[in-house]
Amino acid sequence: MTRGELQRLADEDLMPLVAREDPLAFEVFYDRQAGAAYSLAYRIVGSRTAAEDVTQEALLSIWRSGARFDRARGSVRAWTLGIVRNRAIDLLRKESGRSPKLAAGGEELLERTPADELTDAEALRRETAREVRGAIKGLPDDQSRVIQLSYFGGFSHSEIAEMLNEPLGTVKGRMRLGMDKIRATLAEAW
Amino acid sequence: MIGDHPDRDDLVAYSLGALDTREASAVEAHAPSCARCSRELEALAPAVAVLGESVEQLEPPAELRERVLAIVRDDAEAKRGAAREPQATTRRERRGLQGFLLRPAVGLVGLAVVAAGAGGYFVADIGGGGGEATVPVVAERGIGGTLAVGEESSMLDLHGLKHRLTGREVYQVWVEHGSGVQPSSNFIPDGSGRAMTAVDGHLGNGTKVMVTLEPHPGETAPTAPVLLSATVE
Repeated sequence: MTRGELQRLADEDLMPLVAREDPLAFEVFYDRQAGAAYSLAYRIVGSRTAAEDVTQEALLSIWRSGARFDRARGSVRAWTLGIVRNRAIDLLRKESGRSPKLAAGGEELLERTPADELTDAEALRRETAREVRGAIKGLPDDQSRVIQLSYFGGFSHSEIAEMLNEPLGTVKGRMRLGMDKIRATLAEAW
Repeated sequence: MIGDHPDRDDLVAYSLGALDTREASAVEAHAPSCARCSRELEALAPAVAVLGESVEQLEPPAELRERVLAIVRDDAEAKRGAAREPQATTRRERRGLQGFLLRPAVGLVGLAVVAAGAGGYFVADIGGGGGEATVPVVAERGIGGTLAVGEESSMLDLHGLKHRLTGREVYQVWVEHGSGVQPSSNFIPDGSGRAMTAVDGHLGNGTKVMVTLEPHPGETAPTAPVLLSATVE
């Protein structure tokens, strides 16, 4: 299959070719997913070098594991980012003395992909992401904080409760309320 | 259905990866057989997934793309080469059946593993009569692990490796038979310096498995010092 034909495949249809160890299919997969993977890794680990390491490890693990993607369990993007998140959180936990970045904004300004280079699908994803980012920023601080500590920091709810000196039930309730609002924003965006 | 329904707060916490291990295990034991909890987790999944996409989107460095894709292409090339190798092995085995090249007897008599460290070597010997043997390896420099030798393939499980590789560096496994040294798998350790990699094929008596850190994948013979070796005896 040519690069042009591969580029016309949906993410879910590309993965069986990656699983068959087609390097050109992986290249197309990389070009679609690496930006989001690197961005999430950077958000969690907070440095370019570590984000590169995490992204490389995560994407190569997909290549070397035979790309065990199950379309019944979500999108390729969600699956990939789940792997990236796990790798990044592992790194955070292993490197003692490092704490997750908690601020929603203020990331170091890096090169951005120009808007005119984005595919329609990617542009839509980014628009949705922008709306969700707005929804997260619009959450009450206490809800946003517990979600960020768990998702981007890798802390368990009991660790968060201890950290914030709040009852466990309060922390879990804030997670639920915050996630309900994000779901509502998603439902409107879709 | 196994166990009681987790409450909704716990399902949300589970979807965020925020439950403690014991609580997460309880959800995982219960949810697959519970339509209600499965539906709730499925409904939560897109909201969790979009959290990962909600971060500011950055452009990864071009060097990262070059590095990853070079490794992928080299992997693919190595696997194409490995796919051709079994045909040769089959031919050799046929010759062996005719008495030209006999395979070693099934089962291991012993396995010696030598790990090169900064200040010397550590040697471990075990006896064994089964189809698989596992040997712990410790080196003064901190590199260690095990080599589990099986009938059809073996597994190297290593730790203490350099995890932040530079350029196109890659760890390369080599297998030395009587006829020479052949490249086997290559690998990149995870962030903690651990790696597991398969060594395909039967490792007969006298076969030596070695690991080097090569400046780039695709070498056909070691160009760097041997960091660890294991000899099947």
